[in-house]
Amino acid sequence: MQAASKDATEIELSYRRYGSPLLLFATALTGDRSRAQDAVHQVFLKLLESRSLSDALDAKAYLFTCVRNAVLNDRKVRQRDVTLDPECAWFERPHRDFAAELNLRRALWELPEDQREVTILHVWGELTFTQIAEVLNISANTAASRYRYALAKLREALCAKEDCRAHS
Amino acid sequence: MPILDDEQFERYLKEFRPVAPESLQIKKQPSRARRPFVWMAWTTACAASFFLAFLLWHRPKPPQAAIAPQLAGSPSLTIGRANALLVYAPSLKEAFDELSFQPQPASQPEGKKSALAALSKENFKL
Repeated sequence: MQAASKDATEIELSYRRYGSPLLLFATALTGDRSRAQDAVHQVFLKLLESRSLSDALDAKAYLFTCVRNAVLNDRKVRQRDVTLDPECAWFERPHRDFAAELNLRRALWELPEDQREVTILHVWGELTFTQIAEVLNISANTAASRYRYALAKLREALCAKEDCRAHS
Repeated sequence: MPILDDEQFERYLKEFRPVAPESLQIKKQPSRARRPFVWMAWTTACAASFFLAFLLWHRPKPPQAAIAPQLAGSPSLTIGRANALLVYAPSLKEAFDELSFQPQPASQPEGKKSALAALSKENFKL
């Protein structure tokens, strides 16, 4: 009974700790906040039922893998192309800069999906390339390479619209 | 083209904090919610047990005086009488004393024979 309670507490803690980057990751794959929210909730509710998070060697990477699988399964079921919802913010606006948030969201959305995944996992998920390789089932070198390409594209897209030096 | 190295650009990106998800709507742990009721049930059961034990201990016993004449009146020792003695005697010692020092009937009623006396007269060849 105590072990079960401990597992539930651990899962709730993980939700609080990784909920935001997981939601961002799911939103970046679906383009739609409510579907992303459903995917994240679905993963955590299943975990609470099975209490299996403590069995995972790397809980954080495991959570991202679960969310990705939930999104991909949902996409298969719905069989429709994903589109970006312009009204749905992905980030809290730093200094209430709505334009910057929208620019970043669009720049991320314009990236190829594999590069978008790696970028979000590395920057906001704070996963290492080894962990990303585990989540996406690719090599760590491929993950690093995708990240470099993505970062260059992002920088180009964002700096074309605003003066990045002001933020540095 | 602005001059920003990868590290600076990453720092800039991290200034954007991802939106927090909605809270997970889950029921409270049933074990925790049920705990006060479990304690209350256990307490009630214990109190009831003590009360029953108290009642049994202090239940009114049949008066000794009513039994005594009945026991005293029956001359022979029977299983029923021995049980009655064990149950109603004030102590176990007194019950055994009563059983041990029973006045045995001197003779059988007319027309009846003691089985022991009849067997003693038989000659058995071993």
